[in-house]
Amino acid sequence: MGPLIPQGVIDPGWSYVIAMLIGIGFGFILESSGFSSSRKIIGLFYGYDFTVLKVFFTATIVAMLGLLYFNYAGIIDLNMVYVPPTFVKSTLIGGVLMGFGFILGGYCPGTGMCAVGIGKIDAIVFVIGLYLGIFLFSEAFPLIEPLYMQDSLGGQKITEALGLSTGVFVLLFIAAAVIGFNIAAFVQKKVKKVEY
Amino acid sequence: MKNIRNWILGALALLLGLGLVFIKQKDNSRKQSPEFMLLEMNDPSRLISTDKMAEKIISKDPILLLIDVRPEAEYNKFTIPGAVNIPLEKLLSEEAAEHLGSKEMEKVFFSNDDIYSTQAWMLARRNNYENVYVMKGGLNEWVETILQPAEPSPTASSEEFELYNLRKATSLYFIGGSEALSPEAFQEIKPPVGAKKKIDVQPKPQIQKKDEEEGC
Repeated sequence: MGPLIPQGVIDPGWSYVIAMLIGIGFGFILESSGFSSSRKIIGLFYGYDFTVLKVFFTATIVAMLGLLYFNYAGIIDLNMVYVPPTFVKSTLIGGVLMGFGFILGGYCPGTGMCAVGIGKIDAIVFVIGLYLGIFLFSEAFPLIEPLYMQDSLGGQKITEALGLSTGVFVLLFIAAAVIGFNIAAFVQKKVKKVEY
Repeated sequence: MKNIRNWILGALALLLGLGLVFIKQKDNSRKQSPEFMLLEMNDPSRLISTDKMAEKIISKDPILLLIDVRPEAEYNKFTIPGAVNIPLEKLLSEEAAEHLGSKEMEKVFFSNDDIYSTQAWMLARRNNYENVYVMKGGLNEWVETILQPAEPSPTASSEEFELYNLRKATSLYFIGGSEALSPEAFQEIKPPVGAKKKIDVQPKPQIQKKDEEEGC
């Protein structure tokens, strides 16, 4: 049956409407997890709050298990799910830049929008900076393009790159999450509580 | 309490992950790759000659499934006895999947010529249906070779005469009725001197089938 749009179950024209609905849901979850507080997000880097780690790890596991079991039940065809191409160099550079922005501003783009939604002034400044960045990037794109498009590896999957079976990888990933959550809880107990 | 809940959820996730190690990930895609299709297209083994087809029908081959891919109106006018009608545009419908999905059946597509039947064959192969074939030349060749075989010229080789005799005998099976009883049908065709005559015209199937399959 799925994926719904490539299989023609849902007309591609609906994709923006669906994106809007998923976006509202995503924003709601971010806000109710407390992600519109930059201190909570930054807590991950200082070791006093690991909510970000837990929420994103859990989301990944839920999506991963769901997709694989749906594939097993024949509800979705995983081969038709789009895998974005891998660019090693531009991903590394972009990741470092994003990390700097994250630690300086206290938000990632999604959580920044969330915080704007509840009226945080720091987030409004952050989002203005974000759009400024988008504008600069777009203007400078002809200069950056050769680097941006360099060495496409195509749609790579981590299981294929490591030569592991999907099941084994998923199990290891979940085990890593469970161990990671416990370590996080341990660290959080040790680190001085921060009021925010 | 919250701690217990976390442990239960963690254990559940681990259990589901463990399940994935043991279940085999299925490939739900039923489509074949373009490379595979290219190889398949160049393989002539999909083609079945009309003579072979006639032989299979007369011997009541139990695994044979003839599929007429022409529109329903044409199917109603004339078709090969025993054929089912799946018009090309309905080939991927669910009813058609019942016919095409049976692996052990030998599914032979035919249309007026090769074109639509080959398209049907391509669609079926691309969707990974096995054991599908195309009747070479379609109904046009069926009429030319089986229903109304042309008499070879007197200078033709003995093989051609043998083939003609065989086809004439086959046509009796399919045409039956008045055509079969006409003296012309029983007339023995004399091959040129020196030619071997191996195959006798056997009127047996005609008698067997006469009351069932009258006229065409």
